[in-house]
Parts: sequence; structure tokens; C-alpha cells
Amino acid sequence: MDALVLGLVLGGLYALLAQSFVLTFITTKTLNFAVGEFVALGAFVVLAVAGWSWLPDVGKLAVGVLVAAVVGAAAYRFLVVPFMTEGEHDVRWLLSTVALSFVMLNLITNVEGPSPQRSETARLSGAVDVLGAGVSKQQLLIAVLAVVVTVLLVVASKKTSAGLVMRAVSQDPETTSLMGVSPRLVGMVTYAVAMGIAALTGTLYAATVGASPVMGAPLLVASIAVAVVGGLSSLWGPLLGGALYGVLSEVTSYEFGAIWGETAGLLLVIVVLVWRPQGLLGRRTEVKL
Amino acid sequence: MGKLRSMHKALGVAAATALALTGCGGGADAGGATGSAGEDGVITVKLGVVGPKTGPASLYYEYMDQTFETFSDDFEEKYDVRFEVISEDDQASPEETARAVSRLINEKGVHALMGPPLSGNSLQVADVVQKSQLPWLLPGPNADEIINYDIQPNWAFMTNFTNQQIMAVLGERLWANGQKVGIVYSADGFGQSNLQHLKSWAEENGHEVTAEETIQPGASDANAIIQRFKDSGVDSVFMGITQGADTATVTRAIEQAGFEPKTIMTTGTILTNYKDVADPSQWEKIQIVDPRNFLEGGDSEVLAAVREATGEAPAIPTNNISTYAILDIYAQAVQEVGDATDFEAVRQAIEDIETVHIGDSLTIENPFSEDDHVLYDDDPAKWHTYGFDENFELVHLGTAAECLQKSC
Amino acid sequence: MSLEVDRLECGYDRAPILHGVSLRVGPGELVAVVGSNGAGKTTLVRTIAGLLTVRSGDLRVDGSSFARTSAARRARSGIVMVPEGRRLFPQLTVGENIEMGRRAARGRTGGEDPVAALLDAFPILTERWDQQANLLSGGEQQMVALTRAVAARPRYLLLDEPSLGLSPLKTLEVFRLIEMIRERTGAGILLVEQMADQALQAADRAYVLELGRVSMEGPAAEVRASDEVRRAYLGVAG
Repeated sequence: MDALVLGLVLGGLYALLAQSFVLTFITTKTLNFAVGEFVALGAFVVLAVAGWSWLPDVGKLAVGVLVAAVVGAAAYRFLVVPFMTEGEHDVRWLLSTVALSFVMLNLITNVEGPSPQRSETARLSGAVDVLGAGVSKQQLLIAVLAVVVTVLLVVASKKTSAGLVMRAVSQDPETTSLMGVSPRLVGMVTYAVAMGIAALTGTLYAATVGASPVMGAPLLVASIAVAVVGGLSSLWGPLLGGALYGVLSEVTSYEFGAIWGETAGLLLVIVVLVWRPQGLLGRRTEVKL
Repeated sequence: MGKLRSMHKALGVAAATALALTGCGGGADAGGATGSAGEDGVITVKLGVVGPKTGPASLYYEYMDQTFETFSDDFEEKYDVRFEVISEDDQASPEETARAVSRLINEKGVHALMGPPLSGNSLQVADVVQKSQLPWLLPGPNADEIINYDIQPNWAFMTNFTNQQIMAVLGERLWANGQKVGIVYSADGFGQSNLQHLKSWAEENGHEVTAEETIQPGASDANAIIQRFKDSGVDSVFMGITQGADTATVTRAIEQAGFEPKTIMTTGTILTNYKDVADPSQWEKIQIVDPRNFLEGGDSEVLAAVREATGEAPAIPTNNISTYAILDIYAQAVQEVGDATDFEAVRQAIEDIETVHIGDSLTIENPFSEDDHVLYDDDPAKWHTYGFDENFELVHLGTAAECLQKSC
Repeated sequence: MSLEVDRLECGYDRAPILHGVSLRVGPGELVAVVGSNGAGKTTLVRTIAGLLTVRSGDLRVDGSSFARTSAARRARSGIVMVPEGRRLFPQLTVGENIEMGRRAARGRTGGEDPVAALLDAFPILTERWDQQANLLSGGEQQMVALTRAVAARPRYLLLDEPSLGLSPLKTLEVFRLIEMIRERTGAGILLVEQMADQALQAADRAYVLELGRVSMEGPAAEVRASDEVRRAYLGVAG
């Protein structure tokens, strides 16, 4: 029971970050491999404004999210768009986002140093009892936020005109441009939102583990795994993938030792890829004639 | 292609900027370092220092740097020995270490070599350095394997404790009163070596490890690990973890699970990167052991002097002290021989040293012999046990022997 | 007052497809472009819509060039295209597809809603409003595609093979709808068709495209009556 609760909570953390992969994949069919560094960027920006006592924590979070969003939009415009011009099989963006990851990691390390720094913004200390398991309030906050963000995104994509445009671009960017909507602009906005979510995750996670340049790296593998399991083309995917991945790895850790936990999670990815390559909730990519 | 090329360019610029920012560059070339007394009667020694000047492990170079900065003048005054430091950056990587060490020995013609500070890298160059027949000063690493006493005369001298020693002291404490011991160690060389040494000590002394668990660097939680400890009845925990941040993940899980072991011991790695990401309630019960007394006497004088001279906190306090000790030993030996280039004589003088000074008020007598080149030993009466107050300041709880008696 | 294509050259990568094509569509005019497969008809409309870049020559509407603007901007200025194969958003509903069309008309509102008239005339659209687009028949899909284009309030409408894949009966229906769109919206329509006979009957004027060049132009009836066209495109044995 403990393992189940803690697994779900842990899955929430991965799900929140996985959402930024899913968002960019849905609209642009690209993934930003520098997401881990956007996690750190968000955490450090919030740390930088932590001293502004006139600004409530929510405001500080917003600053971090905003900065990451702007950098994310620019990253799409200048490091993704130019490297996907040769059609669907042009995946140079993969290299350019990996390069961005290294550059950002170096820059952040040079400015902030390698050691983790304490972050007090949006920090809840202590634990609560959830069905008999001790769950840290911070982790619970992140998990709840993962659900809230997912629900908001789903509702927005169904009920708002921006959501309609996003779904249209995901199905046929060229035709969307014939509707007077620039797919490039939609891509920039999506990257902004996605990197904003990464920054949000980073800030909340930093409150537990501290802000450090490499803080995003361990989350990256797990959240890509979660996004793949749930399905990169489904907004509900991260929640389902996160729950499965989190519970499976936590239960395995409990039963067989921590070293097997992550392995079990990654085995799950392989099983899903073999059995249902588009992910559990994903749609098979339509073949265009 | 044009775009890829400009990308490369951008990366190159970024990399160059990164290097410039971190202050990369070789050490000054030796000018008047002859190794024997100059007109002023001072012997200038060309001392090669290798360590990670750049990169995430740079703290391991910084402590040597701080100690030179603080005490160079003192040693010159005390022993008429001046250190001319020629430093090389090993970037904490084995390849760079090998290159840096060979450059110092073959091209720079140093009179003695200090470092590398990381055990793995020291181990890697051990044969090369022994063959070069230069005094090898090791204030940093802890791996017993670095010194192979089959090689005689042996050129390596360590002023830190070794893994075997600390595990013997910890083992006594962990298994005291028949406690059941759980080990959580990081999945890297440091963690593995902790585990191995503690296990082999336990084996030799008729104990067994009840539970052992690894933690991945950067793991987001350790709940399962703690749950497994709890389930198997562990009441004495040892954390052999490289990064303080990962130690914090474990102690957070301990608190979260309401797990209350009688004893929680760890290593000095908790002193870096732990406090900022943990809360006082999580470190309340944690204790460490060390052969040095950080709070009074010569050891603490060294730390206070570093703090005053550099205006910074000692980068790795234990190693700031061990650097002081090795410099004291080496300077004495050079003074006695009168010529730093008579390497064998200097080596012998180190081996035969009578009194090592640490700060003004601590002395250690006759630490070395032919097959003992380590400054400390594993007598619990000579080790200290520390806890932490709510500001994460060290609290001296007694010697390790005392804490065995009254379980601090 | 017209849409002008002036000595247009363009094509994919190294292979040029259009070699200096010029044509003109006036407001409210229905202009057909006929030609065999590979003549460059689709390339022509895709270039006008902004999906392919202009190599040389110019595109003008009411005298001002739009050859360098993005597809999205052209759509917003009222140059609207219905691509070959309809290209509905398959997982959006009929209503959502039409709603997407309205995006291009933002800022050009006022007057009566052009979509309303079509919905009245073709109640099937309203019936299918909440159905996913890929579940419709080909004829229904073409109707939605045309309605979506109308929702964009076109000043000039580019139709790429609207009859493709439809039965003769459905084709007739689609042509009726095109005629109705012209009446209701007053848009100039450039109609590219393989079904040359239908297109030439409906059109005011026509161009014949052969290997990327205009080989004939004139009033549709004249073009339809010419021997070459009768032989090559209307299947009349000569």
C-alpha cells in the first residue's frame, strides 16, 4: 500500500515534466532534449528573485516560468525550426537541442557553480499521512499539480480556440497555415508553455533537492520514459504513464531493492514500445498520402 | 550544412567562454627553483600539484590552493623552505590525470608531486609515480590500494585516514550492542568502496550486514530503501554516499517514513552540499567519525587560519588539514636533507620523521615506518565522534571509544 | 481589381515545374485551369497559396505583391485555398474544421455570415456538425472543405481538384456548391481540374497548362470548343 501511494506521488513528478515533452511533440513533432536544463533554469531564476520580499511566492514562480517560456520560444525559433526544414525525416533538431542542453549546462554551471543551493520558494516542509504512507508535502504538491496542469491542458485543448488550433496543427500543420494560422507561431507558443511547465517542475523540485545545474538530468530519463509509456501524442498520457512507471518502479524497489526499481520502469518502456509503439493512449501517426 | 557549421561555431564560442570563465591555464614555469638553498638560505622547492582546477569537482583542488595560500609564508619562516607550485588541471578525469602527472614529472621536472586528490585517479597513476622515484604527497585520497608496500622503497605518503581505518572505527560503532546494520551506498566508486571495506571488516569480526541498498546519484526519492531497512529490522544505518544532496534524499526518506534507527553514521562527504538541501530535524541523529578534532587544538587552528587568510570557508575541511600535515612533513624533510633534488634522502627523511605538526598545538609522533605510510591509525581512542547542531555546526560528542561505551 | 500571376517560375528543389505562367482572376470570376497530370496545376495553386516559394515572377492582388508573404498571412488577407484531397483535420469535428476556417477571417468580419447560407442549403452539414471529419464520405468531406474555405471569407478562392475521387453525381453536387459560393461571396475562383469538361462548362474563362506553360487561354466556351482541348482533355477522338 505504501509503495502504491508513494509510487503514484513519484509518478506525478515525472508526469508533470513529461507533459512538456508531450506538448512539443503534439504540435511540432519535436522533443526538446534540453528540458533538463530548463528545469534548472527555472529553479535558478526563482532563486535569483527569491529576495524580492514584496513578491509573493506565486509571483516568483511566475517569473521563473516566464523566463523559461521566453527562452523556450527562442530555442524553438532558432534551434529547432531551422533544423527541421527538410521534411519529416529531418531530425537535425535532435542534435541542436542536445547541443543546447550542453551549452545551457555549461553556462548555468559557470554562473551558479556546481553545488546545490537551497531554495525556499514554494517550499512545504514536513510530511502528511496518505492512506498510511508518509508522503512529503512538497512531493504531494507536485503530484497534485501534475493532475491540475493536465486537466487544465485537456480542458484548454477541448474548449478554447487556442486548443483547437493546437489540435489542428498537430494533425496537419500545412493546412493550418491555409487557415491563416502560422504553425511556427503555434510551435513557439507551445515551446513557451512546455518550458514554462519544466521551469515550474524545476522550482518545486528544487525546494526539495536544491537548485543545481544537473538537477534535471535524473528527471529527464524518467519523464521521457513516462511520456513514451503514456503516449507522446496524448495529454492524458503522462498521468497514466507516470502512475504506471511510478508504481511499478516503487513496488519493485520495495520488493527487490532500489537498484531494480528504475530498471523495471525502463523495462516497462521497452514492453510498451514493442507492444504499442505509439504509447498506451497515443494515436498511431496518420500516414499522409 | 551551413547551419550546422554555424552551430558548431556557436558551440565553440560557448566552450571557449566557459573555459575563460573558469580560469583555465597552466601554472607558472619554474624560475629559480633549484631545490637547494639560495643566497637567503631558503630552499625553493618545485612542487607539482595536480587536481581538478575546473569542473564540478573543483573543491578538491581548492582545498590545496587554500592551504598554500594560507601557510606558504609560515613554512618558509619555520623551515626555510619555499614552495614554488606548478599546477596542472586533471579535470577529475583519469585520462587528463595521466597526462597532467606525466607533464609534471617529465617536462616540468618537479621535485615532488602532490595529488591527484581523487582516489580513483591516484590509483591510476600510482605505478607511474612510484617509478618516477619522486616523493608523492597524498593529502586527499583514502583508498588503501594506492600504496602498494611491495614496492620498496615506497614513495607515497598519505595524511588522510584510509577507508580500511574509518570502516574499522565505524564498524565497531555500527554493530555495537548487537545492532542490525543497514548500508545505503551511492552507485559509484566511492560508495562501492565504502560497502566493500565495511563488509570485509564485518566479515573479519563475525558480523553480517542485514540490508544493503544502492542509491543512484540524483535519485528523486529513497522511500523504498528506507522501507526495506525498516522491514528487515535495521536499527543502525550507515550512509556511504558521495554527494551530500543524495545523503539528504536518504535522510528525508528516513524522516518521512517515521523510521527511527538508534544509530545513523556517515562520512565526511555530508559536510559538502548537504546542509543546504536538508532540514535540522533530518540531521539530528547523524554522526560522523574522524581522526581530527575540528573544534579544538591544532586541527581547528588550521581551519581558522584558512578562514582568516582566504576569507572563505575551508573547501574540504578534513583535507585542508591533511594538506597542512603533508606540507609540514615534506618541508621538515627537505630542511633536514638540505637538497630537495636528493629525492631518496628526502623520502627517507619523511619515512623517519619524528614529529608532525598540525597547527601550533597538535603533534603526531613517529607516524610512518617502512610499511606504514599513513598518518593515522584505527585506534578508536584517537578518533573523534561528531554530531550536528541545528545550524549544522559540528558538535564534539567524544572520542570514538567513548561513544562506543556510552553510545553518544 | 484582380488576382494576378505574372511570369511565375517555381518548382521543387532543382526541377523547375512552372516556366513563366501568367494568369488573372477578377472578382466574382470563375477561372478554370485544365491540363494533364504533371502539367503543373497543383504546383501553381500551391505557390499562389504560399505553400511553395516563388523563384521568379510575381504574385499580386489588387496591384500589390504578396509573393514574399507567408501562407498564413495570405489566408488572412483573403486568398484561400482548398487543397487537393480536401485535407480536413481528420480528428476534428465538422464544426471544429469550419471553426478553423473562421480563423483566417478574423479582423474581416461584418455583413452576413457566409457560412449560414451554406448551412441552410445543405442541412447535412448541420446534421454532421459534431461528427469527426474522417468519418464522413468523400462528398461530405468536400462539402465541409468548401464550407471551411467559405468561413475564411475568401476574396479569391483556389480550388485544387475538388472533384477528385468523387462519383459523377457527387461531382455535380460539388460544382453546384461552387457556383453557389461564387454567387454568395462574390469571390474570384481559380479552379484547377482534371475533369476538364465540367470545369470548362462552369467557368467564365479558362487556361490550358501544358508542361508548365500556358498553351491556350480565352473564354471557357471557346477553349472547350477548340480541337486540341477536345482531343487531349475531353476524350473526343479526333
